[in-house]
Formats: sequence, C-alpha cells, structure tokens
Amino acid sequence: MASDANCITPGNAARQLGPKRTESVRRIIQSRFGAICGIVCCAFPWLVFPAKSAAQTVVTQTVTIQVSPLGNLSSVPASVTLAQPTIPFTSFTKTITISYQARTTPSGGGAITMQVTTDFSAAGSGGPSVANGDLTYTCGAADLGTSCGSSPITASTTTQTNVVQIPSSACTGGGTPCSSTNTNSVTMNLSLADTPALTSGTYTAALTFTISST
Amino acid sequence: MVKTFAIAGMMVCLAACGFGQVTTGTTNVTANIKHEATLSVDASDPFLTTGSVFNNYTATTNFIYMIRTTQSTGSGKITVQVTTDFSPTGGPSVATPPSVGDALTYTCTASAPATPCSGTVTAKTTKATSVATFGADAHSSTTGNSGSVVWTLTNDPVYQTGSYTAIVTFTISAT
Repeated sequence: MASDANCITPGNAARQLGPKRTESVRRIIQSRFGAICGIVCCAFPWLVFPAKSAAQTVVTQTVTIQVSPLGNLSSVPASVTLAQPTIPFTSFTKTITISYQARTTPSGGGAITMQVTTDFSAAGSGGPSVANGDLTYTCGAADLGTSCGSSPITASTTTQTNVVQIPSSACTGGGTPCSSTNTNSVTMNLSLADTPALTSGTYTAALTFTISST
Repeated sequence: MVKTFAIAGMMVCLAACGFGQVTTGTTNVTANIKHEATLSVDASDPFLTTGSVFNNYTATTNFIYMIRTTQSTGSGKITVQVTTDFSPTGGPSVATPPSVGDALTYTCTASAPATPCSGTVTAKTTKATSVATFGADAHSSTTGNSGSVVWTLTNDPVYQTGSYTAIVTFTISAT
C-alpha cells in the first residue's frame, strides 16, 4: 500500500495537489505517461503484452561414442648415420628418438617393436650384418609405458624385438590419468659392432618400427 | 533430415575406428665403415745382458694390433721412434752415442696381415722407423694380431754404471 501511495499516478497526483490544479496537472501527467508508456511498450513488449503460448516438441537423441584403442608413431627419424667410434674397434653408435601416441583399453595393452627389414649386408659378405648379430640397442626411459631398458637387445631381421611395452588403460596427453605430454617418446641407443673384419664402405639398413594397441 | 545425416556419420566413424590398431614407421640407418687401427704394447721389459762379458743388452717389446684398411687404395704401417733418449747422461744415447758404432737396433716379427720389417733396423730420435706395413683391404682378427720388436743395445765399456731409461713410441696408422 505504501508503494501505491508513493507511486505518481494521475489519481495520486490529483489527491495530493487538490481540486484547483487537478485538471491542468492531469493533462501534463497523462501526456507524460503516454510518452513513457509508448517507450515501454516498444522496448519491452513482453512486460505489457502477455506471451502467446507456443507449440513445442522435445526430441531426445542418445549419442554413443566408442573410444577405440589407438597407436600412432608420431615420428621416427627418416635416416640416421651411425657415428664413427672415437676408440677404434668399439662400436658405431647413434641415439634416436621415437615419438608416439597410444590409448589402450582396460583389458588391453600395446607395444612398440622394431625389426630390421633390410640388412646392412648379407652375412659373410664382409660388411656389417644384423643377421650376424652386429646391431644391438638399449633404450632410455619412455614417458608412457616401459622401455626395453639398459640391457642390450640384439636386433633381428626375422622377428620383432621389444622397444616399449604399453600397459592397459594407458593414454597419451592431458595429464592424469593419461601422460602429461601430448606426445610420448623413447630414446634408443643403436650400437653396431665395429670389428677389423668389416670391409670398408657405406652400408645401410632399414629399421621398421611398429606400434600396436588393444 | 539433418538428424539422419548426423547419426549416419557417427555410425561410419565407429565402423572405421574399429578395435586395435597397428601403425609402422621406418628409419634408414647408415654406417660408414672406414679405415681404423689401434695398437697396444705390453709393459716395458728391462734390457738385460747375458752370456759373455760385454755382450749386448737385449729386450723384447710385444704388441697387439688391430687394423682395417680401405679397399683397393688403403695401406697401413706400424712405426717406432725414440721420443726420449736415455737418461741420465753418462750411459747409452741414441742421438749422441758415446762411441762410434753404439746403437739401439731392433728386429721385428708380426703376424699376417702385417709384413714385418726386414733385417736389423737402427732406432732413431729424429724419425720413426718401420716395424710393419699393411696393404689395401687388410683386416686383423677381431681380438687383434700379435707382433714383437726385439731390441739390442750396444754394451759399451764406456757407459757409467747405473740405470738408464729411454722412451720409445709405437704408432700404427691406416688409410
């Protein structure tokens, strides 16, 4: 009620000003109220006119995503040259970095393996030979999974040998429970035996890395 | 219509993703096998004299070498040089022998692929002298091959008694 009394309406104004000035004040107030009402009606029509009720249809869609295991070799060096040993007849060496991404299921796992798909030279031909056991490697730590470690592994032309074992429920990037980096990596230290028996020359082998995940 | 396309798109994605994945990458690894050589000698043996009075002093230095020379054009050699003459003074000297005819000489043995020096060679302080040579595409065994230098030092009565020491340096090289 107090708010009604304080409200400046034509009725309230007439009561407060008395009968002598009622007519002139009414005109003034009515004209100003007319202008204010026009502005309010144009700017905020929903305050003045009741909303018209709309017909609505609600559709529910169930979206299912199957997040599958994933393995990706982000990068392997296209080519590397083994460094000449500083101490004669020790080993030619080179450290390479393998970058990868992986996602494994709670019941799965993954692995990075390596196989020599093209040998340096045929065994017994005078050059280095993977088939002869001349190429070995060790691994630095992997930031996802368990690397092959510091015990030398002899590379093979016939079987894939271990580089990294990836556990179940593993994933790359984003932080806990996945790895903190968006690309994982592991270093491999390649070592080619350097013996006097080798015939001088340039020899190239192809190493094929495979990542798999389930 | 729009909904139909969205659902169809998801169905295709699911089929394509599948379960389990294998990808591969290949690295070419190159090794440049070049000429190399290394040599080790055993601990120094003292010069000794045996037999008759004023017989020459003798000593033997055994060595093990490993070598690989370049195909067709390569070669190698083992040399020796007296890099520090006998000291203290008053005894033998390679650079300035106290008597004419005083010398430090040696003969060589070396297993193949080395060709040992022939005859008796006089050691010098001024230049390296040959112990063995190698031809192109020479390969020692993986564990190395052996050789030796048999030293002879004149036993000159003018030498003052005492102990004298010299340093000889063996060098192996390959191309």
